[in-house]
Amino acid sequence: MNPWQPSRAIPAGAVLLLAAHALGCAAALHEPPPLVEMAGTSQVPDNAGAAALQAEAHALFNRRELDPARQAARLQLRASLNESLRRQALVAAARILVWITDHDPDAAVRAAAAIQAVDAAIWCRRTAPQDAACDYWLGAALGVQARERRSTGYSALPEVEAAFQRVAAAAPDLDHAAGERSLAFLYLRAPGWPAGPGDPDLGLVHARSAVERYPDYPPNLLVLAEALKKTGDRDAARATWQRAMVAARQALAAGDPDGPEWLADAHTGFAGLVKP
Amino acid sequence: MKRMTAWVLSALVAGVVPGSAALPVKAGEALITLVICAPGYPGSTADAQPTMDRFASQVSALADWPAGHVQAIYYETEEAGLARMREADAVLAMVPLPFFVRHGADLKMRPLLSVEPESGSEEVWSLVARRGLIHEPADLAGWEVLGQPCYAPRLVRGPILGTWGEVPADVRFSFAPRVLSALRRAASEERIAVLLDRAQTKALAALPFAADLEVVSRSKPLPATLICVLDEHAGPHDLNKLEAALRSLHEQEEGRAVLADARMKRFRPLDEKGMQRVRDLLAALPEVR
Repeated sequence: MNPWQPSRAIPAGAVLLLAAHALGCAAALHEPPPLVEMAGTSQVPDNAGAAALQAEAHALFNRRELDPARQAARLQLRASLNESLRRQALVAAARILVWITDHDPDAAVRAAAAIQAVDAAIWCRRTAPQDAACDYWLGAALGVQARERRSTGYSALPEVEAAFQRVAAAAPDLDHAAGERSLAFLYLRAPGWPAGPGDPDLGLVHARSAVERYPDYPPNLLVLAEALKKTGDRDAARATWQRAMVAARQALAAGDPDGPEWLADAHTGFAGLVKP
Repeated sequence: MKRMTAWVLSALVAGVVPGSAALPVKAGEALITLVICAPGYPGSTADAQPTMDRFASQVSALADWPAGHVQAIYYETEEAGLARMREADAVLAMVPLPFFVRHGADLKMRPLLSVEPESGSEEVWSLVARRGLIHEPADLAGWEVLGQPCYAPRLVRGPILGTWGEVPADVRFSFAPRVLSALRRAASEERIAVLLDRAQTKALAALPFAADLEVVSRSKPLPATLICVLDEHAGPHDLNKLEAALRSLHEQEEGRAVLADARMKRFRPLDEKGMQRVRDLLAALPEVR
């Protein structure tokens, strides 16, 4: 498996934290800076050099810690100067920057990382306009940017929805049904009608679709459990969170770096449901 | 590394990002708590807290109290909001009219200010049903009415639908926070009607199944959201300072920003006429339903 293919789940929060009250009207999409500026160097690595940068970045990001993740993002942006590995490096950079936006405790750092993630994803789409992974991370990056820079919220919503719809249609198996899963998160968490596209019934449809394709993938089970809870089927939600715990433990045992987070999320969801 | 997954997963429905929490209060210093409760509206206590902290911080500063003297907490469920409002430090509550009608007497609430939302200063509720089935209130016999204010059935029977006519006694009112789902049911099932607020009514025509539905009645304009004093938990001096701070919040840039985050424009004097209309319509209802 190529670690820089988008084979991991988007952190759920990256998908859509577009709060009803958080929405403004500034443009979510903007002209990104030149790649050499983002990379912090004009030195173009050759194929072997770019591959080495990516390998180092992969090892750093696998630790799922902030400082190594920042280094990993910088290395991927440097690798993206190599034309033949550009798309792959930009996908990886966007993914890492989204992760940083989801995990850094400093609001200013999160906001900066979100903008960089959008920039990387925009360059990714320019490099490979039909690439579903670029769409996927563009949607995710716009989602976190909308959360961190509230003024971009309104203009981001249609872009986020369209990006995930393209992924679901063009690459239904990408990242264990990322398109369907991301649409489910979008409809579950976006502001509801009439302020936004939020629609738990529709979220449930997409969550079921993701689970049908990849029944044991923990993020799919987590979003399905959330959808079941929000549409009022608490018993099924409880059972699905339990399935998510089992799947997350298996991922953890297999050494998946996201396993601990999935397991914690399943426990949190389950505990929230059983609270009186 | 600070782990933020739980926060991340909780979707910030209240439209907030982490901000600086209120500074700790000195030992022994009393807190004044503003409890905000809006059953059926999005967000959770945790999601909303950063915005609540900014709001409380502004109010504290305007009232010339130390940072942290005022705190604000949001609850999206009736039960949690009720429990918090019963605590001694809960001085004010910000609640929609249905909450006040249902719990005002029990909690000894006294309306103090009106909230002016961005959508307009008053609320107009519309009853929507499948086209052609409802011509007058009596046609609702045996029906179920769904909607966000339906946890306060007396408000729905009286101030909301009472000016249209007397609603049959066997009509059931069911709280339905997912309005779009309720509308889908109304479009496809008989004997289901849905109450929509002004913004929802305006957006109705754009729904793909709008042609199957029609508005069968509209309420007179009613107060939307109220700031209420809770059981006189605070003295008049503190209440006066709080009221003045809230009324001047929109005059400050940061205050306007906090209000905008919650889609509010300002706090203004109570709509006494509107409240009297509500009281009169409630009084006209039979005591027991």
